[in-house]
Amino acid sequence: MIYNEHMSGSNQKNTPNDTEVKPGRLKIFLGMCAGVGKTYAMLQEARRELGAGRDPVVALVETHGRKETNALLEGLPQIPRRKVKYRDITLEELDLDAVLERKPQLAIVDEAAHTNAPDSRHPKRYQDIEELLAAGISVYTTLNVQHLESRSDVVRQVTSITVHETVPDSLLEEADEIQVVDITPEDLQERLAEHKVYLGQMAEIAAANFFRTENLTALREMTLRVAAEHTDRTLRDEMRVRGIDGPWKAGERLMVCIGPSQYYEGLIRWTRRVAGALDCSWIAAYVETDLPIGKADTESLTANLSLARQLGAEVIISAGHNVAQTLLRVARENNVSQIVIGKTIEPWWHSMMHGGSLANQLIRQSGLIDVYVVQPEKGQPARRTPGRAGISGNPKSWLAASTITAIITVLFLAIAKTIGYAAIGPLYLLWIVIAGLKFPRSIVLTMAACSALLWNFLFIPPKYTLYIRNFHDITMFLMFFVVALAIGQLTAKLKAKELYEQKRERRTRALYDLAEKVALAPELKDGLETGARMVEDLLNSKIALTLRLSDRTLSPKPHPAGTLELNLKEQSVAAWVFSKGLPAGRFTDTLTDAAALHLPLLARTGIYGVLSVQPNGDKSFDISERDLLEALAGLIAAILEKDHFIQAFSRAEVIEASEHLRKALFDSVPHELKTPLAALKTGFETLLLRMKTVKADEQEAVEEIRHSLKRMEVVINNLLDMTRIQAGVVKTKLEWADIEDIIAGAVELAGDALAGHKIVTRVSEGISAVMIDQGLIEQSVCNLLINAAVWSPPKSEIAIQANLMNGTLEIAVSDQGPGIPEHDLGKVFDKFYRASNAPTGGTGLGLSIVEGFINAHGGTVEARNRPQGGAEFAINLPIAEQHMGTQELPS
Amino acid sequence: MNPKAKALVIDDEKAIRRLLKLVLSENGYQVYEAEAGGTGLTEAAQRKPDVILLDLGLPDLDGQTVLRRLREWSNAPVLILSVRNTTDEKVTALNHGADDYITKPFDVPELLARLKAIQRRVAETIDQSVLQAGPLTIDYESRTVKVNNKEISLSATEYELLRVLAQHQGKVVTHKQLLREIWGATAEDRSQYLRVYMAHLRKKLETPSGKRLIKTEIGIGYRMILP
Repeated sequence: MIYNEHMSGSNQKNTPNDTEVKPGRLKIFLGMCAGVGKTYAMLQEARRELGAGRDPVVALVETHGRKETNALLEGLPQIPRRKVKYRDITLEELDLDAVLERKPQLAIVDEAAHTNAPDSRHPKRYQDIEELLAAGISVYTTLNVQHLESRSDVVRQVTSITVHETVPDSLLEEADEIQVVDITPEDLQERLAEHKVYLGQMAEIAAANFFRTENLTALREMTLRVAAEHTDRTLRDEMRVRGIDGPWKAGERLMVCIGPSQYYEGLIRWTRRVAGALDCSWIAAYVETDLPIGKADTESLTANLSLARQLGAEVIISAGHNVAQTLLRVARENNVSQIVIGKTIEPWWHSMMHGGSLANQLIRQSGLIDVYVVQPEKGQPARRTPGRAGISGNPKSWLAASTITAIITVLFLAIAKTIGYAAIGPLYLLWIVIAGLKFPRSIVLTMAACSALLWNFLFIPPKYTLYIRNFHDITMFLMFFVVALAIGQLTAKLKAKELYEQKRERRTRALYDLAEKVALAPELKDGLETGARMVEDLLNSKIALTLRLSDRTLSPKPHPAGTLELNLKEQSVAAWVFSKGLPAGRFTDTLTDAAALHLPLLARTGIYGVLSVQPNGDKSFDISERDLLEALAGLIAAILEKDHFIQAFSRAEVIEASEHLRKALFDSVPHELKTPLAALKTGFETLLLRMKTVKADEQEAVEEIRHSLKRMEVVINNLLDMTRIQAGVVKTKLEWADIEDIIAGAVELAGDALAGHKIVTRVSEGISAVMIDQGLIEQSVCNLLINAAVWSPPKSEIAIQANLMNGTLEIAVSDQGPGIPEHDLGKVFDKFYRASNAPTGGTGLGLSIVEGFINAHGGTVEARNRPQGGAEFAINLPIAEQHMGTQELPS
Repeated sequence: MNPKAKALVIDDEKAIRRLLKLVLSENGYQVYEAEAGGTGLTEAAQRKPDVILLDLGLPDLDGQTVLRRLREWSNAPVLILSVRNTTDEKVTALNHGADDYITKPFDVPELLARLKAIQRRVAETIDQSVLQAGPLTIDYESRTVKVNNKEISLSATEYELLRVLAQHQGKVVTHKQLLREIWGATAEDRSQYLRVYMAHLRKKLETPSGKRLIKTEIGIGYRMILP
């Protein structure tokens, strides 16, 4: 099994939220240490930018009360800092969200190496800077060379000061420009003497020690070298872009082999430096063997892996029985040209037993790959000893083992006379073998030793002494001792292997079960519930699944399948994970003070939600559990993806079916109904045209025919509209429309039906454009107008009033008719419902169609009687409004 | 207009064809008929009609297909005559080169007006230096506009809008067409410009009778109807 820990990173481009923002430019003002004037130089540059008409904003600058620096700040726009209460003190931090919202062209952020207050989004300020850059904002920042990750151990060696606040070298590589702010050590010491240098929490003596000329010279040299390397790299990039042959070595790739010990930290830094100098990519590889490792080792391994990642390595974890062979396989698969391993001193018998040291094995089998054996710093790597997890045993096991030993010893004392003291030895051995299957190694070894002594003391003559008289007995005793220890060791090893196998088995089974139970569940909801319960049991944690909604946003509430409740803070972390497609929260580098670990549910076609996991108690996840979690997250994502496609498919089927129906409704039926009507109408009008003159008594008949034709047309249209509403195929097509245009259109559409009435339109100020389906609304208003005209006395006024309030558009049509009888109010929108006192003609469909159209539009329609008399019908539509001034338009 | 203008009616409904023939020959057209898409195309090629009335629901070929094939070699004005009244059908037909459409059942006078409108060439209207119709007077030379003999002041864009619609009077002008003529091809998908300017223009053209000179064809465009 090989998996690439950068997987989530490379999947990022698949996330739907990935937008094509051109990243901002990064300029770093690099100095050898505090006090060289980096901030000053940076602000000067910012002022120049302001003068040149760009838009710089001071996001955060520490002036430490220096007058000259303060003076430079004047006139530069600043963003207020975020105040953070931490224990009893108030810290001021960069307000990342405010800067992102303000979106300046250029943000000034001092001290890239700063560590943020605990509740910040990122633990380090340089991560804030990276987010700003990603959002397309250019950044100026300052950095001291001692804070560079790869130089921190050299700085420690030179100055014997350990640097805690570090930034990864990749930040430097990201920089488009590096400006070295350089003064001579003498000048700096002078400034120090004048108290012009802010020393922070550094004690005076430590500071004086630090600012010695030798130290400063070394740091200065280091600064200049870093800058030179950067220039060199930029130059080479440039040459490569222009196709100029350069001095770089093609195809170099380094691989450092790491393990669970602090020793490897130095090794990782060493490799980073060499890779930087060679300008090549590098891999940090860890081989998981069948021997499990202990808790402390797991932690240092995790730390090493994350250090390597931070320094820009690709981390590969691979499993294999033989470390050397596995490493070589990984190396070959990844085209590695050079392998870096630590120098280890192993006991000679160890090498003998394992076919030579790791270095020897690698060198022997590496073929064309170079192998570096490096001693980076003092210290010894931990040998791959079986870890102590589950092997040291708890007091209960100790007690049990001791009690059993005591009991059998008493038993042996009773039967010793019968079977002889010599037979007691093998019986003890039998017990050791059994203990080996049951108890951890330390207990087994102790019991082996105890049994040997007990045998000697209680059974081998002379009894009750440790002295053995007989040569024969001595041989037997020594043999017993060795065999007992060997058995203890072997059984323990077997057991450790078995534990490991169990763990792997558990993992495989978990994935299999999840796949089977969840993927094959008929309902996604049941499947997710089963899956969530399994994950919770398996990892002894609580989980929450927050899924993507159909509009591709993250659901505000987690899926009921999980039992973990997310508070606002956790929800915001989940939202961040969803937008970036990267893990965050506890046990990660981002938003680390969250209570839960949040993993993106990434599948091939995008991100399907967020899996949040919070372990019960203060348990943390080891490598294999993290690995399992990511695999589970991937599986859940795949299942959600499958469900997404199934739904999309069935939606497509429904659409196809309704499309079929739509075709019938829109083509055949209208065609059959309307064609004869068209012939009738055309025929009639042609006759009229040919007759030229119509006699007065014929005129009445002509009008009657014309009226009936019109009525027929209305009835057919109404029936067809109603059928569409009933079939649910009314689709709204939202477009920006003018409300006055709609009303005028409705009046035109109603045509002669309104003859003899006075139409008054009142549109309240400020409604310019609304996003609606103009056709549906126009028809609805038209129907309401016709209805009003039917019910109100001739020459009376029909009023149309439009208001926009709280995102709801109300269009009300009121008349001066008799109003609606109370008992009819609830029925007016019913199909074919006609009021008892209704005039003849009309289908009783007009108002139902209004209701159908308005409902399809997500709105409501209401009938009421006005206090001053007459009926009023009000359409209410949820709306997005837009005001648009002509100044935005091209002329 | 040429008194013997040739009209081709492509419709599968015999009654409609016969009635149209009656109406059209009454109004000075020489009328040819075709009852299907294929024969319609052949007729169009042989007779070289001055105007084509095309139904969309044909037995052999869909009307939209007939239109597309026709437009490969013919510029004859086409009026779509159909019971299909969805915006999509209309927009598709207009985009494929139809000049206008009318839905069945139709008013005969309206049909005749549309036919006249699509046969009118832009060149003819440009030759006129003054357009006088109903309450509206446009003097193209001095770029002045009068409503009921009262001069109104229009912005340059509003004037252009009015000019384009007037030159195509009686005929639908799509959003796309208007945007292209006024702002150029790059503005083709910005129909919200039109909405705003149209609202202004209409306010200025308002007459006491309340009848609007410019009708909105929802989702399609605008049509100026002059009496």
